[in-house]
Amino acid sequence: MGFGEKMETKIAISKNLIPEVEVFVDRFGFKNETEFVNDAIKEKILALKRDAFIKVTGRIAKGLESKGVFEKEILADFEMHRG
Amino acid sequence: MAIRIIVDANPIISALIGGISRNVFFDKRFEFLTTEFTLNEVKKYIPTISKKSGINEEEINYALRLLPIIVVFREEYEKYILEAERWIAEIDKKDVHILALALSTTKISHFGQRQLRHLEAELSTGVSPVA
Repeated sequence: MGFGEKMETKIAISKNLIPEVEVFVDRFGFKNETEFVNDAIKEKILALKRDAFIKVTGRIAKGLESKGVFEKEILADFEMHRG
Repeated sequence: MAIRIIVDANPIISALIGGISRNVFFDKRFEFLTTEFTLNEVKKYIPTISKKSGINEEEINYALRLLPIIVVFREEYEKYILEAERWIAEIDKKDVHILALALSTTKISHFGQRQLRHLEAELSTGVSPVA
């Protein structure tokens, strides 16, 4: 199966969420519930990735700061490395 | 529909070390593309970031994998490389791949000299929005 191709998987959604999904599908112009759920999952994954990314890069930034290295120097050094 | 942005290595490096650009990458209004060549340049520099920051390479590679950037392989823009070289190789050879990708994505090859100057300015900032 190629990237982006759809694979059908059954996922149970809590009963109390279904009426809300229906409201938002209608009001925000989603084609159907599937499109809404796919969009919601995509957003959730992006948010989780962002949180993880901020954590790791925060540690990198702290490590650099503790050694007195700043972004400008790193970017200049990187340019030199690239040649 | 998301706005496509072609990114050079600098904003990626900046994001990895906690720079301002890191938040932009997670904005769903945009879709980021880069070349395999550019990604390899970033990967080659990871040992240096590791050495300078004291954070192990594995963790920095993990951060790189978290970035929502679509990597485009050379075969996708290969036929624009010669054209990109003609335009920019004398100014900055390392930007040839990024420009070739931009050309393949936007049909910018039909643009005139004024648009090229604009594009050069965008490349110098490391971020180039495309249609």
